Order: sequence, then C-alpha cells, then structure tokens
Amino acid sequence: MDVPAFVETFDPVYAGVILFTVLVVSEMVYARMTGGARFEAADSAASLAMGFGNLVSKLLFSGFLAVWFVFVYEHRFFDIGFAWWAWILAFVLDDFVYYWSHRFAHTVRWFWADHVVHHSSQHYNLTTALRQPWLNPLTLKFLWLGSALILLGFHPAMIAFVGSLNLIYQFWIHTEAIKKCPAWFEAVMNTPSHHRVHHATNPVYLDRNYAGVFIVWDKMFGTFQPELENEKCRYGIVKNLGTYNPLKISLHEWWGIIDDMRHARSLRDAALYLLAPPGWSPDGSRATSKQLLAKWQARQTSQAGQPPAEAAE
Amino acid sequence: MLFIVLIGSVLAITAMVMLNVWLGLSEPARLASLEEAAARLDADAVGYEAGEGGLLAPDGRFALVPAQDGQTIGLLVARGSDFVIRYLGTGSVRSAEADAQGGLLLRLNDFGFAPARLSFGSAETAQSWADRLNALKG
Repeated sequence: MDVPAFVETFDPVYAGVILFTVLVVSEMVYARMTGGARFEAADSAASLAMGFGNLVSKLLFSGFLAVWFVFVYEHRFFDIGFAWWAWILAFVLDDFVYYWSHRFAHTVRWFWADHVVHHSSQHYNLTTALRQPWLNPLTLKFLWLGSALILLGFHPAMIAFVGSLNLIYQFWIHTEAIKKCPAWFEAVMNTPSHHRVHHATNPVYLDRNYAGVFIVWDKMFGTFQPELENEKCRYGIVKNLGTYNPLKISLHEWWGIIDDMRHARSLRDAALYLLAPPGWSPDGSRATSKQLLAKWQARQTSQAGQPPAEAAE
Repeated sequence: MLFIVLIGSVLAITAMVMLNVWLGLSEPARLASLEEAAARLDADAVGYEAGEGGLLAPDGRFALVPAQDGQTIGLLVARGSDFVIRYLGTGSVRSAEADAQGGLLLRLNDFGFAPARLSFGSAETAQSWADRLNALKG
C-alpha cells in the first residue's frame, strides 16, 4: 500500500514550531498591552525547555516506536487504506482514543507521573501547551492505546499525522486571552474555556474535560464541567512544584512513586501506589481528586445552607 | 532538516524567554496580610484551620501559619509571581538554618521544592522560627 507522499515528507509539528513561536510572541505582547494573560519568565523558560526535551525524546524513541507500530500493522484486522473518509475517521477515532488515554493519565498514578509535567505550571498561557514530558514511553501506553487504531487497520503514518494535527489543535486552547467562543463551537469543540477548567486545581474542576479536540466525549462520558463565573481557575497541581528545574519537573512524580513503593508495607500497597489514582495513600493521609471534591462540596453545603455550585457528575 | 529544527527551536526558545523578560510581564507575588495567607491555605487544602502565632514576611514574600491543632505549619513561599504551599508536619523539614542577618535557609524533604531563603528582618525571629522548624525534622 502506497503511503501518500505528503505524509512521508511533511510533519505538521515541525511546521507548528514556527506557528507556536509567532503565537507565543503575540500572546506576550497582548499580555503587556492588556494584562489579559499572565507570564513568568522562569516559568516560561521551564515550559519551553520541557517542550524542547519532549522533541528530543520523540526523536530518540521514534525508531523503536516505528518498529513496534509496523509490527502491529502487519497483524492488522482490516485494510483501511488512505481514502478521504479514512482520514476523517482516523482523526475522530484518534481523538476518541486520546480522550481515554488522557483520562487514564489523570486517574492512574503510573500514567499521571508522565502527564503531570504538562500540568505543573501555575500559569496558563501558550508556553504551558509546550510543557510536555520527556519519558512518555515509560507509561507503555503505546503498547495498547497507542496501537489500537493501527491494529484495527489504519496505517501508522496516518495515525501519526492525525495525532500531530490533534496536538496542534490543542496548542491554541492554552490561553486566558480568549474568554468564550461562539456557543455552537463551545458545544462541540474543546475551547480555551473548557481547557482552563481542565488545568485548574479548584476541587470542582479537578479531573474534568479530558477532551483533545471534541468536547462531546466529556459530555458523553460524564466528565464535562463548564467554567463557572463564580469560581476563578487556580492553575497547577494539587501540590505545586517549588522549582523550575526541568529535570525535577520531569522526574518528580516518578521519584514520588519509587519512594512510596520503597516504603510500602505490603505488596498490595506498593501496587496501589502505582495503579491507584494520584493522592491515594493506605492511611488516607493524602487526598484524591474525588476526596477533595467531596470535602469542598460538603463545605459549600454547610457554609451556605444551600446546594453547592453546579458541578458535573 | 532535523538539525535546523533543533537549532531553530533553541533560538526560538531563547528569543521568547528574552522577550518575556524584556516586556517585564511578571510581578513578584506578595501577600498583603496574614489573613490572606490563611485564606489561601484554606482554599488550597479545603479546610485548613489557621491557629495563633503566624508570621508574615516583612516584604510579603512568605508566611508561616501554624494550624489550630498545633501539628502542622502552613508555609506559603513566593516563587516568582506565584506562591508554593506546603503543610509542614513531622518529617517534612531537612534543615532550617538561621543567619545573623535575619535570614533563614529552609530545606525540605521534598524532591519538588528547591531550598528557600526566608528573610525575617530580625535575627531573633529567624532563630526562633528555625528552632520551630527544626523540631519538624524527621
């Protein structure tokens, strides 16, 4: 099967590097002129260094991953090919897989150790979009979620291409400069407003809006939460980092898992430190997102004598 | 092509960070009062009950707020334009070294927390807090 030439010669992410730079600079100028976006030089430097490391990491691992994906493709169920409808289907299904991969990245600490890097800035601007992990293959998600569509019969080059388009789409939504998009767009697509919620640590916003491109997945699977006027987003992670060191940003949760497992009192506890949601501990001395939300809701109810602010189920 | 992308990325990153600095986009985070510090701790932990004897830095760049139960000290320390929060209990502190200029170098048993230099403005106050913090060593 012939792979279209443009797929082999054109990587959207490389072209995106120029687009990303222009947009980041524009957002900085906008911040200076209006105060409508927040930047911190050390934070931006750390985010951009993480983005660069992610690029290098992808180059280092790409050969190994390519061999794996070709192997999976040789055992595919169907020959889907490169028809126009296959591109559309691949883009939508890739976004569906992204939703679940992203959801697992927040609810299983092993996968969170990788993804936490992206959430570890207290700022929400376009440089945050580029704050990406260096050790993604350690999650081993490429063995199953990353291979599912290829096993089905989509060509690896097609999946890589639509995956790049998905990531490029997600770049522009990392901003406070855009408040709301038109209602029809907010209803279907992931937007800056929806994704601000995803990056916020307010208990009502934790573990919501996992979508990549289409917010409809969150609405279908019960994880949608609109941005509330009376609940301003506080960005970052539950235990924010006190360092801009890229190595520590990259490794801190991996280190936390190793340290916890090393001191675990049983094999079960050790396994749960790896596989349970972030914040789990055998003695309950830490809090998961669900526990934080429950505390927050209980307090809202008792303080106001009224139901808490509208939160998604 | 690959080499150009990598070199281009490094140049673009350098330019963006320099522009960020040149535009003066960030303002150092400062706390206006101890009440603000307590409110931030409360919002962060959902139910932190501040006790007596807290301290706000003269420049507003950090605060130490003991909990009502006496078991924990809430720490807010500025990193650039943001605050980082830690709830210090037994075993949290690696070392707290006061100096004669009223400063204190705080190191935590925390991989994600770089050592913090806290300026109290008085050597006695710094030493007194160093003693309290050192009591939380593991």
